Amino acid sequence: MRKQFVILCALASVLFASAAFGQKCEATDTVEKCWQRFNPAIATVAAKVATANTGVPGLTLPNGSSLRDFLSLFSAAFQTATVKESENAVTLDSNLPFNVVGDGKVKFQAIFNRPTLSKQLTDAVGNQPTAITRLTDSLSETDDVEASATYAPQNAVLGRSIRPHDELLSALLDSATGEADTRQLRLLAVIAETLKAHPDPPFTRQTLWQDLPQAAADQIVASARAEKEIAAQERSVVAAFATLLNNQPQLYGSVIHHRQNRFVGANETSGKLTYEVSTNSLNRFLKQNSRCGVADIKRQNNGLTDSTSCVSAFAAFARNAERDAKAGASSRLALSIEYKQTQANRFELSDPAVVTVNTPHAHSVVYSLKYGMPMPTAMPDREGRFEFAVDYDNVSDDAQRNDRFIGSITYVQKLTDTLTVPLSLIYANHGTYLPDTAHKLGVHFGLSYKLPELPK
Amino acid sequence: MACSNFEIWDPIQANSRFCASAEGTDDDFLVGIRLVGADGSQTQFFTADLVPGPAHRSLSNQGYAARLTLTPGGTSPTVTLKAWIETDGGARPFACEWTATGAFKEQRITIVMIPA
Repeated sequence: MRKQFVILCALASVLFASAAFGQKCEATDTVEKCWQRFNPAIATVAAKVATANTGVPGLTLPNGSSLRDFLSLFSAAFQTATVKESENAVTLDSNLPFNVVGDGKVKFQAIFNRPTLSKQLTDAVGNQPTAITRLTDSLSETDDVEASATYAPQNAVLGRSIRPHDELLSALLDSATGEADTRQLRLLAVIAETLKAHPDPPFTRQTLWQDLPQAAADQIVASARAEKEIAAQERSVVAAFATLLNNQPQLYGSVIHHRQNRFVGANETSGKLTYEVSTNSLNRFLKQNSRCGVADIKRQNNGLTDSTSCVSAFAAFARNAERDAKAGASSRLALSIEYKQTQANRFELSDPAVVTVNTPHAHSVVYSLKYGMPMPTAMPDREGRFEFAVDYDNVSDDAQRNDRFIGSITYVQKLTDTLTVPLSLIYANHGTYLPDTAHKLGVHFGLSYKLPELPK
Repeated sequence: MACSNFEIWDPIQANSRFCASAEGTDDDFLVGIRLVGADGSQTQFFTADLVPGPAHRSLSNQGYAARLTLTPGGTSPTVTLKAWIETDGGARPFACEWTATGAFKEQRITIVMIPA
């Protein structure tokens, strides 16, 4: 009786579908070929990284992004400057899985700044161009390196990884298409038994469409059409989920060591804590729709509570998020605090000049606020990103260093899935070790590349 | 062996097992399987069942159909899902693997299993 009901449903959908769609199978099609007329196989596309533009990767650069990328396996960035403010920096960035509390990622990053003589040293050497040249020539490319390790937990409330949301996405998909999917699969299972019972000619993978029993052929078409619709529905749910997932907050802690040749400056060690938050996140949806948790959706799917569908609420929320993103409102705010210890740097030289440099041990607290927003462009998946950042460096124990303010505006344009170009305008009230108040304004230009995955 | 997005496995001996496992170049992906019998019985496997897997279900002498889904996350890892039939004697008369990549590009596969 139930089988007959399934077949009746299938026939009804065949009649409806025949009227609605012009697609059909040819007499010389195999079953697989017929199926693929409705559901073409997805060609394996070239591996590509997250579509989100994640800006300048440098953790310690003044124009670093408000959206830290813990998803790409490896990225590299180069930027140059027109004034001395992290001039010519190369950033290498890698994320590795690291499970401490739940799932997490550890980002290792190294920034190779082009080394230049410290202001204290050049002032002490004075007007001796030959000595300055010899000291500069003694520097190597690894004489000004910042290395950092950053841990970011990835769980249901923090991070942009999809894995912690398996249950929620499965429940939403079940709610959207589960019943129809099960019905179509059962129909196919029944067709399998029909084909088994078809002795002449015996069914094989090569059996032509024209040789199938008419009822089975019609059912396969109905099922293929239904699959096409179910797949489209599921993909729209996944797309909506991806939009909200990209807006999830991130919390991460970093340990940073800045190693410099003594001619360049003092070594520094710091700890930094950052919290990024965005509008229209998955968390926000769940907070606003308190009856749409995993357990609630499952209860609804099982008919245990009222039939109010969370999927429609979810789709509406995601649509709003996408609309807001186009209006530039799906933005991200990053707040961070960094405690930095600067070692003393004392040395004397007799050649190529007689100089003494003596900078004391110092510590400082750096407060940062970054605000980033995506900027849609005419090209799909090629959005730009505006970043505004302010840093305030509150220095103690060093009379030669004043508190420092840095502000920057950055526009990052995505050229390909892996290549972005940042352009920054950076203002500092004075340089790192400059006691004067000469304001510094610089323009930075660069290239950033994300490696999709390691070659096997 | 790489297979089509629509597979017909024929014939499936009684008391065989449907088995599946999945892996990715990183862990930012989801996979799932829904297996339905002609009698309406249903089994679902989720990512936690399939990675590293294998997850399996015994098959009775009836028709079955399975829907497999692969969803790479934002890192666009290459996700590989394997499914096979294991007979009582441990032989694997049918075995397939599918790969998916591309951030949030869901790939769906349908398998129809015809009883012997």
